[in-house]
Amino acid sequence: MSGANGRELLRLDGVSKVFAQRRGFSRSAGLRAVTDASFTLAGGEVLALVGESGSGKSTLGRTAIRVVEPTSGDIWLEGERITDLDRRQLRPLRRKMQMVFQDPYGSLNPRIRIGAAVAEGMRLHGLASGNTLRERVAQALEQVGLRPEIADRFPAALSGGQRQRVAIARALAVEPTVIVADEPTSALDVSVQAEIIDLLKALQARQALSMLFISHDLRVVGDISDRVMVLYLGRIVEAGPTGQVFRNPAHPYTRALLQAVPKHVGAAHGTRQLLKGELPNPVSPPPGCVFHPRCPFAVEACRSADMSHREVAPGQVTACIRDDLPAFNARRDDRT
Amino acid sequence: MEEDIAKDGAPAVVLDVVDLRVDFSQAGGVTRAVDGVSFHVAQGETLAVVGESGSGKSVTMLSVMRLLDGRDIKTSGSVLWEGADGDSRDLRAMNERGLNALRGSEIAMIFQDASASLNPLLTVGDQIAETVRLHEDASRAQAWARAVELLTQVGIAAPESRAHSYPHQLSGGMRQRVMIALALAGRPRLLIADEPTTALDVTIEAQILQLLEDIQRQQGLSIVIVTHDLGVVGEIADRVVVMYAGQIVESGAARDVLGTPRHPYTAALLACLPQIAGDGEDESPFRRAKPGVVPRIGEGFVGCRFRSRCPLARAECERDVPLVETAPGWQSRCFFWEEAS
Repeated sequence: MSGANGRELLRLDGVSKVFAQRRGFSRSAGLRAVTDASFTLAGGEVLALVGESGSGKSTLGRTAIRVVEPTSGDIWLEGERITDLDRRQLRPLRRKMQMVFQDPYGSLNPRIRIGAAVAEGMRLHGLASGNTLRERVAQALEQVGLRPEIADRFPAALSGGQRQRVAIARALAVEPTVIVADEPTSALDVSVQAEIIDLLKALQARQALSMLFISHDLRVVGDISDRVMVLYLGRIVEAGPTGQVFRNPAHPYTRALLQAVPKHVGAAHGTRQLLKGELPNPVSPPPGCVFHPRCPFAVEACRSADMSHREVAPGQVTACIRDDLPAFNARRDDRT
Repeated sequence: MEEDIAKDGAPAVVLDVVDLRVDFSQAGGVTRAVDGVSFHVAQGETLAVVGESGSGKSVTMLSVMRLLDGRDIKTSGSVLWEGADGDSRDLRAMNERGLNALRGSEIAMIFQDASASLNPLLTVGDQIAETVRLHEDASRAQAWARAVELLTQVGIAAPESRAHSYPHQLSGGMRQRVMIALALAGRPRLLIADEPTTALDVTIEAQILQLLEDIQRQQGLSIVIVTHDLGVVGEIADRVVVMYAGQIVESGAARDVLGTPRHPYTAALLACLPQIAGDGEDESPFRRAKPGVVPRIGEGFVGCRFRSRCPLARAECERDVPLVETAPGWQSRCFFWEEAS
């Protein structure tokens, strides 16, 4: 289907993920981590998945490349439906779908030298061997701003920022189609975080990386992504071009997130708008719009809203039924 | 709070740290983690201590509380505490008994990881009640009632029933609220919070910062918040101390320091902070100031510690740089501070 439009790399249609839960001997209701998610990722695009802990952003990111199996829905990679491929059929496609994780300390084997770690993927997928492999490893390291000599070192000799560069080099070495980066900068100091973001941006500009960028940090997302999807309790509540969504958020939850971000300039103390309470239990999400119990703009109809998306601007959709929200103020909502 | 205002109109100083030094002896030699740090905290104010990993910010506060004593650790300097009784004491000269009486009752501390600081085998109500009885003469029933009252104060819904919960039954945000309730149990005059919101989601972080502000307003206590996040500083701090490689590089009113920094490291931290708006990309030269890591400071290190990463660095920076007053209450450790903004 996307054969005609070769630019569409990844497509999810109505994907849901329910984690089964057992209580004693009887099966209880499952945990609905992701419900009815649909989106596409185009070539050269950075699409951010944002939300708080428990929003389902990591599950969705992993389900998109079948690291987590979807309960229902369909997934296409470069026009090929990969939903039902078994493990063996999926293996050659694994090269095309790489992940970078949050913790650069946990994601590198402490007993394996950097060079071997970077080479592993290329070797497994039969991309290179011998001297060619060695050269490709050196190239991969240089590409992320590391000196090739680092190949002989063990992870313990590297800083957090260097390790994260290695993790990126390893993912890029096999020339993937899609990269899923799960909070790749969250464990790093701000200056190192800026370094890694700049690296990802440079790589993206140079080789048109396509990336699902999972993050809870809206500041980082604003810096790096082209489009953003906001998740709440397993639902995509808003999606659109990042700049536009951040300037004119159409969903009250997006507004609340933006207002909660600590601001270092012009902050007037004591005027912050607070979202009341915490995330409800995803085993029994609220009926209607899942956000309505915490929403400052909720009306009666929200209790039975179906959370389907409506377009509010070109490319920007929201699951909120209210089209009469007051103008957005990054600091707080004046509901008068 | 009025009675605490001294004659000259400035609020009374509750904590005065003078020339604090902390040396770690290791196999490879001595590392100076904190090098001549001086600052004060006034009654009812919030001071933020900011810096990245290795800046010495946490070590500074741990050593203020004397939680760092060890064979391989040498500290010097003085930490003067204005007691509630009006007596000024040097925490560094006090014995362990005197210190323990002070910790929790006059000075309380909360940490980033609330779950590691709570006892998993006791209900939160029991833990708070136990702490209450440690600090005041109360019956079990009175202590329990006070625990419920504290849980109410920190914004826990249905506190009577929540008091019977175990820590694992609570969310991260609620556990941090319980930590704050525990810290308040001894009615402290100074609260030291080490990265209290770092592990939390933004909406919960905003709630916790608001809670700290509310408590401060109601009880007039002083807060020292240790953080790596300049956003948090902008939200909550009155004054800020910026640390780099064990030294204070800039200090002053939060509004001034964040608005027009007078040290290139502060400018670099600000430039590294991604902006939410996304557009209007600033091409600050300080964003390029980042390669490299905080140098380890041993004996014989001379010159500005930031110079290897600094876009303003020049020959003069190979000399040691003093912390100078650039304006009343606004200090910078840079010869070229006028060029930092």
